[in-house]
Amino acid sequence: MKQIIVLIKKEIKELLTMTLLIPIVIMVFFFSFIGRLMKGEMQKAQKPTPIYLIDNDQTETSQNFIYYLKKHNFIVNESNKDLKTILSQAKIEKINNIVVIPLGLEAELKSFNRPTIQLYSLINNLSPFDDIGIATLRNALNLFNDSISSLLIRRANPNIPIISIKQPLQLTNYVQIKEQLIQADPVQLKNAIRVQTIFIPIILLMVIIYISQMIGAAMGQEKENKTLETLLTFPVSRFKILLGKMFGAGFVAILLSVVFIIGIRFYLTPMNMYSPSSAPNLLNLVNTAPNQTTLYGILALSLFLAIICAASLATLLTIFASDAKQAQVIITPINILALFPYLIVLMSDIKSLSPILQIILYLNPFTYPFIMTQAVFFNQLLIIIGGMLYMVLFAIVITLIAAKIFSSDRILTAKLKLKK
Amino acid sequence: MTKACLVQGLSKSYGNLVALQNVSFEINQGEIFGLIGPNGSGKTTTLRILATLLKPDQGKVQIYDIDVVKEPNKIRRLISYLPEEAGAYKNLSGLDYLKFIADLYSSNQSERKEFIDQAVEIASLGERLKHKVKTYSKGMARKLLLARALMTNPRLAILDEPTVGLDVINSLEIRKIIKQFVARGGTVLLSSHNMLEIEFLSDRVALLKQGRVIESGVVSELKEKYHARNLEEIFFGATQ
Repeated sequence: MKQIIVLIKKEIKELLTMTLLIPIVIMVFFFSFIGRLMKGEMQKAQKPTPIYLIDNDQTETSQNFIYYLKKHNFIVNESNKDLKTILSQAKIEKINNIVVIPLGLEAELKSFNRPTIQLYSLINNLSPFDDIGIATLRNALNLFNDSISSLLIRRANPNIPIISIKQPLQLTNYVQIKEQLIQADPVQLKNAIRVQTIFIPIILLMVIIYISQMIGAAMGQEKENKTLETLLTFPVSRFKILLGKMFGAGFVAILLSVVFIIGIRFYLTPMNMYSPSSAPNLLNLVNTAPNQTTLYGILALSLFLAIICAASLATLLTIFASDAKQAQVIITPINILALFPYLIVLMSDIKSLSPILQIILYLNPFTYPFIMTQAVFFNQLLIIIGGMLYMVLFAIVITLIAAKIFSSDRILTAKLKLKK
Repeated sequence: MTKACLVQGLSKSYGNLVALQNVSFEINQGEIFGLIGPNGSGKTTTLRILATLLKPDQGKVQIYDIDVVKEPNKIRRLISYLPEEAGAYKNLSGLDYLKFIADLYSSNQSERKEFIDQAVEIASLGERLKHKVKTYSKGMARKLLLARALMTNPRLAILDEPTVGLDVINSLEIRKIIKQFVARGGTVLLSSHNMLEIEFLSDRVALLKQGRVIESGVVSELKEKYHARNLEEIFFGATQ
């Protein structure tokens, strides 16, 4: 055990260099900077928006509309000037929206003639955040429209509930999960499940890519720096040397992934784009929903096993790499192997695929972490236990093959053959 | 006299390429044994078999009566191998590299300290040991590697071209270190194509050509036999 720890420490020291760390740290700061920048822009967009308004009607209805606008976070600058003057003024004052209430608004409404409120918008840039102002304005207009509509309905049919005329049909959605029938929106429920594990695919892909790279670097450098031949004569078993490399590279890969994920969180959190905490309310309705500890425990275990599988596969593939560059090329299939089930699971259900494709996916150890959330929610024990056992078996077999090759002449003679 | 190494009828091929044919020699404890021959004569293959890196096709190889093929793990405890094209971990400091080796070989803290102190003395790189290996000159790196090879007091040190590519000063220092190691009771198997170096260092030699031992013995006796002034002339005489 002591020797494995010594080897792991050596690998970490060799791999964790400033050259590797500096770009990662810069990236975290960059994500954080962009996140804050976006937050600033969003906050700016949520501030009370100034607009110009020309009220040509000056009635109780037009005043009600102005009240609606103010209620919806608009600073209403009323003006009596003509539209052309106000457009020039708005441009100077950087006010992007001008609302014109027509003369006779109230009278036209009463006679059901559908009067027109005009909205003039100035485009000064292509920022999507500027669109929030106009969307809010449209929303206020729609609510006002709805309110007038309700008023008109009530006047015409004082004894009938307004909702019975506006929405004569009702929809109640039921969802069946396992044996339980619950009243919920299936789309919302699926999203609630997905949001619980939104980071799993990102973490997995990130770690697999990093671990392959790190093992590629560890194996490649050993050849490149001419240290392998010496290392193989030390009184340490070849299996321990491989384990040292796998765990050392695994540690560095996980560390880099954690830093990377922190970077993404810095980017997403200011914009409230990541909020799994809102989902559990809906999940409480589902009797078979696992508790957070069980779910994350199973996911963490499947992630760990996938990492071990990636490490063993990368070790096997990079044994014959003559240098770090060649090792990086050799590990490319692992990234594809990890990406393939992710894309499939993202777009369809594995069970709906052809049997051959299903077999291919189930033989790929990286498929299981992607389908584990679904398996846990639907209590698919075969996938959970079978998948885990398969990953363990895969990692053991691949590591033993790698150790066997590593213990043979081929580790040196393959290089010799290449030279000649 | 105790035999440090016994090689009998050793053969090895890489596909169709015959690297060694029926090679035999013995190394006595406490001596420097030189393997000499031109490039491609089979020196490195022989050393790699002794260092447990390659398996022979035929023949018997024993180090202190332990079979190299049957018990490689025991052999790795007895030997230390310095390959011709060896390197150290570039992102570690010289001292960290020596500590890493000491950690792998030592069984307790005092032994670890003893190994490190000995390595620091052999390498004699002073403060530069605290710097990363990637900043070292070729001579400094070779001294560090030799210190690594000898620090654990191996019962047989296998050194492949220990001074190759080094300037005169560094070569002299390396030779001095090897002599000191033997003076402390160590045994060395040395390979080189620099015959004058082997003559200076070795007690006995074996001459290899195209995978075969063409001559072996004490240098002074071989000089007499071939009426030669040095090993180069012995080699010339033996190949005629």
